[in-house]
Amino acid sequence: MLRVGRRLVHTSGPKTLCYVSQSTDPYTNLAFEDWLLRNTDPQSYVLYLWRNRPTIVIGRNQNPWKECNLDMMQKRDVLLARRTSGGGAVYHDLGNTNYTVLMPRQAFSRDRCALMVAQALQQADIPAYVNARHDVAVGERKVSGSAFRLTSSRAFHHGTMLIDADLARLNGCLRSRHADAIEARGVDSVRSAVANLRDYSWAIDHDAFCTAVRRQFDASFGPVHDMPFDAAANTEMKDRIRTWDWLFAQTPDFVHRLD
Amino acid sequence: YTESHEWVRIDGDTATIGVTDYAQNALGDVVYVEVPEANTEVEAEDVVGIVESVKSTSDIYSPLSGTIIEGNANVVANTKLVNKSPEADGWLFKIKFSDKEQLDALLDATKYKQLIEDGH
Repeated sequence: MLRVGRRLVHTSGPKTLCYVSQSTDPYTNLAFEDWLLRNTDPQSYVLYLWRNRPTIVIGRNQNPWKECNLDMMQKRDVLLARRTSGGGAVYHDLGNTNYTVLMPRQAFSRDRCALMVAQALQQADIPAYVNARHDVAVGERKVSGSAFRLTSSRAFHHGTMLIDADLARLNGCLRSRHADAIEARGVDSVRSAVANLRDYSWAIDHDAFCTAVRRQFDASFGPVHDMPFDAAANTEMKDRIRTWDWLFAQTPDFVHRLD
Repeated sequence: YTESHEWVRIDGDTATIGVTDYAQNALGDVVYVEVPEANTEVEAEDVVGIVESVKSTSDIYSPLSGTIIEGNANVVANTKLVNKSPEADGWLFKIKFSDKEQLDALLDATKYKQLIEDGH
């Protein structure tokens, strides 16, 4: 047994694990990710693959009024979620697949898993690489956004992968009318030109991407054990992260000039 | 020092805590800091704050149990202080600690240097 903070965690058993979500609810999926962070062996490497129904996911320290067009999101039935990692706002729909890799803190580097994902895409004949901002790109376009979370014993890297997402809807929702009128502490998104993998490969889809990443993960970290997904694993967090308090009140201090 | 790369300066029953130069270098440019509020009761190993740098959120831990005296408002307003002066002006919080024995678990400068050299 290993003492992690004040909890005891079983350390025997396989060290390379893969979980695939069966839910498209962003709060369930984010809560499960947090559950993995807190409950899997700190020495293990864990791959988690998940997809959400249309959602804008902002970074922990962002301002939703500044980052997204909340009116348009409501009209188009796009949810808002706030994750616990840093970085900027991203758009999720069923044409976007998310990957999370959890690893021991001392093994962490921002490019390690991005390179793994780029290699997985190269195996699928897509000439992907990792750019200076630790994102996976093809040519001049970003196809994936990355963010990270670090605790004393563990780290995770999670990223989006635009496979066949609705980019027009993405642009509309990530353009706030209030951006110029808000002065805020907190973190602003850095905008980049994006593309779907579909622009580079007619064969790539969610299943093909998951298979390629899982294969590369297995090659990088050792024989993978597939584990069951439990949508009810972390209902306390799931309920907390859909409240107004977390989504809006968590925002760093800001001033909105109304002219 | 702690294994999670914080330094602890003791003054009577008060401790000032921040992240080490090694930590700020590993973190990269700090863009956001959250520090604990005065009068918060904390236990050792509790998460008391967050630092964001290069799209990463890192937890800040209290190495000691006690009551928070003050979080450094300067660092919250000017996050670059953590990078420029991590072991002086970039301090994160002050705590009135309740258990002197917890100090024994901290690392001295030599042990901390060893920890960094061993690659943690």
